[in-house]
Amino acid sequence: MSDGLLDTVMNIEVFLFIGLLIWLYFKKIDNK
Amino acid sequence: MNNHDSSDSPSDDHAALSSQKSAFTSPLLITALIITSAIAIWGLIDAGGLATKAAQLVHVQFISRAWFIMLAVSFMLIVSIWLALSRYGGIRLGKDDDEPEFSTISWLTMLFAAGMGVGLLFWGTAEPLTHFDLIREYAVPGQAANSALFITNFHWGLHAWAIYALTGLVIAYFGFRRGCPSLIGSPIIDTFGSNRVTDLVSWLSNLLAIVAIAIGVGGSIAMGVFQVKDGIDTLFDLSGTGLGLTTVVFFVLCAAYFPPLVVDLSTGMAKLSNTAMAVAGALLIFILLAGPTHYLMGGITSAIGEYFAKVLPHGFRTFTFMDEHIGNWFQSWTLTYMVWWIAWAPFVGVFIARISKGRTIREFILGVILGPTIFSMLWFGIFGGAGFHAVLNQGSEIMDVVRNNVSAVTFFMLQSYPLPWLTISLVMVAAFLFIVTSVVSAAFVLGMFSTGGDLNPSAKIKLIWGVILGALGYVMILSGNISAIKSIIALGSLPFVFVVLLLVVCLLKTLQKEFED
Repeated sequence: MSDGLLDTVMNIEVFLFIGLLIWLYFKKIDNK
Repeated sequence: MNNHDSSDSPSDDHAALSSQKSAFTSPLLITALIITSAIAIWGLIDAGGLATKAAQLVHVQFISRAWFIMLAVSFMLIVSIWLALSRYGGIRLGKDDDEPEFSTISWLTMLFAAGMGVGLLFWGTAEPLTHFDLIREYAVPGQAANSALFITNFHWGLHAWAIYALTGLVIAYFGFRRGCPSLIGSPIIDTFGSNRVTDLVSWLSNLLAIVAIAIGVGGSIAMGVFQVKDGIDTLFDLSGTGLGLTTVVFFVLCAAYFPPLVVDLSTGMAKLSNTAMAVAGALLIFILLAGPTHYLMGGITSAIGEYFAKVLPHGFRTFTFMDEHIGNWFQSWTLTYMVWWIAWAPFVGVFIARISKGRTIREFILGVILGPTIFSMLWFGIFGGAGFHAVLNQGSEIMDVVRNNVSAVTFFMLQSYPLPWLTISLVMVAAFLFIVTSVVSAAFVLGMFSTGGDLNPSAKIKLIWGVILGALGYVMILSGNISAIKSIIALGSLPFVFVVLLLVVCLLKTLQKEFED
């Protein structure tokens, strides 16, 4: 994998993770 | 059973946690042992190869994700301050009528002790002078000294302690108030319920915490051994003793930390830790009084003002537009420190949680982030200031030592003070004691995490972790230098950045829920 592509993939992972955290924060959970 | 219909009690999920405990205990322990032993064996066979590979992988991560790491640690500091000042600040870490176990003074002293460690002894003079050496290429010496002290305080200050505070807060809140097992992954199941995904994420979080702790403590063992070895070199005027003396020091250290893993010496260990703390405190006062007192106090006062004026914006600095020289420096210092604190967060978090039962969230956060930060500023102000005085006013050759043998800098500085044989011996004793107490506590925490939260892990499990910690420490000694050690620690702890952020979301959601209920 080229450096540029690796960089893009690693940053997309971070963007997705941040998106996941935001989604989890606002997700309604009726657990307890 | 449907979690969505469960009662107000979190007991259902705790049953799930217990079942997870029995289901996952062995796989977690075995997987953790395989990963950490594999790293240790790789390092024992080819320490140079491990260090080079770690440096390459960390470099790629740091280039791509520097912005994320800085954003994450700044976010943690801002969330900590907000939590302390918010309506959640009054929530008690325990039942509403629980009282703190320790008086505020002894609690603060224990926090100082948690923050104090071989790192401060090692870097006290060396770190400010290393930054000074770089910054004076860009600024006049006086300004360079100020900036070097600021950068050092930034590395050891509020951001570091916010990482510890949030991790400790998550462990204390979910452990004492919600009754969860003392595991890094428990809050995930408590917050989102138990299902295949949360069980797996919780399990992986526990695994990442174990790996991060083992590698982080291994690095500290290596740093402590280097420091004690250089102290012996300085004291007895030995040079070129190389790996031989280092190995002897390492085995003496192992001989000292194995007995407490088998026999319960918790009172004795607390005494050892207090002794190390007292020795370090005595050294601090000695340098302040025997050195140029007004110069050191002046430096500390300037540093306090500069620190609190610039600390928040500096947390967002990534040096993106600077030259490669500065970029590399930023990676090998600021970024490495931030992931280093993250590596230590589960370990220190467990300790500060255990001593903070019955405190409110506000007391906890303010105590944890402000107390040790102020102590570190005094420490670096005095040890760093003494170094600057030697360079700027006495034309000392200390900068040569900074460039060539960073673990000997403190000893070189002490040689220009009265009673050097005594102070050098004391630094070695304190470094040795700090490492022994750290390894014993780490073996306990690793034993606890790897057996599903057992508060009394068996001597056998602790011994196994003692051996692995020792092996990892020896690997880092073989890797030969501090930058290799830093790369290996960074590699082990980077994945844990994601876990800490996930735990923060769990905490915020559960706090919100508690208020709504």
